[in-house]
Amino acid sequence: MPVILNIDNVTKRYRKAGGLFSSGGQLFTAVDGVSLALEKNTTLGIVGESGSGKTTLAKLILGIEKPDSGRVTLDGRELSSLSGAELRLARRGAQMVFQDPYSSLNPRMKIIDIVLEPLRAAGEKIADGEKTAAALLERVGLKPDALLRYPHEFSGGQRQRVAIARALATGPGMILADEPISSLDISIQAQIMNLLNRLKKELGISYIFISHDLAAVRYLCDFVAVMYRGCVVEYAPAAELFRDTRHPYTRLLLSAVPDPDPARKTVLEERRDGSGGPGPQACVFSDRCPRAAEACLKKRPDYTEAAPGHFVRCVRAEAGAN
Amino acid sequence: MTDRTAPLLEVRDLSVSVARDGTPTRILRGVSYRIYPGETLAIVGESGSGKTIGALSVVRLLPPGAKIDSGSVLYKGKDLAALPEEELRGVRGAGISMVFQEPMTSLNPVLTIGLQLAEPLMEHKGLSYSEALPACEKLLEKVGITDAGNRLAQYPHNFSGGMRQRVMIAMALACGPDLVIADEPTTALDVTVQAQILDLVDALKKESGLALALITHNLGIVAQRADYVLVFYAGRVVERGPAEHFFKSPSHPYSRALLNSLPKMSDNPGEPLKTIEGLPPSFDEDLPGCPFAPRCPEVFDKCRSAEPPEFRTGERRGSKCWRGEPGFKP
Repeated sequence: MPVILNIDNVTKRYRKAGGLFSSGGQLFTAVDGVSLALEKNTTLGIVGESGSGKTTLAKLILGIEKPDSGRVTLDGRELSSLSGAELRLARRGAQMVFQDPYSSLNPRMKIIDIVLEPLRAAGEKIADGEKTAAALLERVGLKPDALLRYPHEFSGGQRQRVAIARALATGPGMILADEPISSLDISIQAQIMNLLNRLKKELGISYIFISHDLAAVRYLCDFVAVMYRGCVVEYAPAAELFRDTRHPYTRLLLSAVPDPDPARKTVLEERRDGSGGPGPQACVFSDRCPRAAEACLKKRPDYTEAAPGHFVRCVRAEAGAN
Repeated sequence: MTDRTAPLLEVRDLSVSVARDGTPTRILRGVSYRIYPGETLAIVGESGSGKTIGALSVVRLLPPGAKIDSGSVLYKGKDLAALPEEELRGVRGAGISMVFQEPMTSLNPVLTIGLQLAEPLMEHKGLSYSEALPACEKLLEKVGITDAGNRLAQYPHNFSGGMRQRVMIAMALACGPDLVIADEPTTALDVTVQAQILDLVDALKKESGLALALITHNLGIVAQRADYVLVFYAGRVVERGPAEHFFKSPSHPYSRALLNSLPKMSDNPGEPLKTIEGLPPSFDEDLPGCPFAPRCPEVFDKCRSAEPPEFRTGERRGSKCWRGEPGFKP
């Protein structure tokens, strides 16, 4: 399968904010040697807790941040080597949908202007704005009479449709959606998930879907990457990841999701050694891992291909941790 | 939970309206329910369905301009709906306390955790700050915060989201309530932290026998934690019943549609999800019939002309749907 986005051994560090009068704190690695590829017309889910590096990774993918090392290649162009007009042009290929459609749409702009904004930002001349915007709205299931109205006149689900129409404006090959359904009501979540899947089929779009809703991830995604402390600890085809979970952190995450079937009781598998974090050489999950052994503290495990296409960063992966 | 014990709280036919531009809009219509000691009552529904107002109106925490039009809230022999504000303040935060969604915004950023934790004790138990401190330390320990003595002198920004929510729970427990109303208490938290907080609440409930009214849109949490479920739609309780019945055999078409629209671990990812088309009616829309009729897949003539009353569908179970009317034939 051709690849639309390639993330090659990308690392991003930030300096932790010190006090008001200090010159700066320690370095903090937000994304730590991440390699991922997004195949055309597929959906890659990225899951993990807050602080796991999901949002920093998103910024690197969109070229908002530059990596300290490694490369992000979108549609064959390496983002970190571009700047100015070239970067703006390349960025048209990757658009974003945010979590909260209440704060991500400018309340003072009409829907038509919101939807056309990415084209204008790219410096494109739009011959017939109304027609272009109406076509985009139709794609996402909204009527053209929405064009001259303002965001506050719409429900959360409709606003998220507007946000998706805006993301489609530049005809991107991929859309990065950061928790696009988690602020919506359940009955609306299903509508938006169906819409994302329909657009994927109709337009051949690829998605990166950042979410903590694992049932939605399983439903929408072809592949899933699980992040923990800036690292991808497990990567597999979605069905495989849920059927044959290998990494203890992924298992912890799955055990924490309350199952909507009362018969399936979930029990949290967790341990904390209270050390305040893993040592610099240790596996990133070793301080919370219920199965941590001596070996886990000495050396950070490399990727192991536990099964075809199923990568795990755990010493037990090969042994078949299940 | 059974009917053997007396209810801790009984809401009877409660209606609330809010004056918008001078005209009253009915936001809660004839809501009735009971909470029993030790029970976890889940309140579910879409945003704007009245689920938050349905719970918070119990202690008359209402949005600006809203007032109770009719109905009563019986708690320990008193009608909270009619109690003078002065006396109600003695109940709020003491016998009935609240935990809100955003632990980031519900704590005062410029006051120490100790001061905020001591406040309910000073207000309701008449303690001084120094008298309250030992109790505060115990409360923090109770909700699993280590090094409690030093933590009391710290400010909210020194605490993570999960830790702040633990502080909020400690505050709610300060005066030994018999009912805690929690409005989306874990929505802003990571799933693993959510599970820890819910485990903590379960443990505290077992220990003290308090009842919990849990407002949530997460049906997974309802399935795992609740004893009893109220389903709100358009300001009404359209279905109520024990949690196991709600999941196994929901009586109201809205409940069924809600459960069907959830992606399940067993779903085939290729198939489109079942959705509920359309939107709930706005509050000022006064439909002659059932408020769910315009979206209901099981609608028939009568639904559009008359609003269904509640029909009993079993022990502590009821549904506001004409299909539940005795003698109904499809």
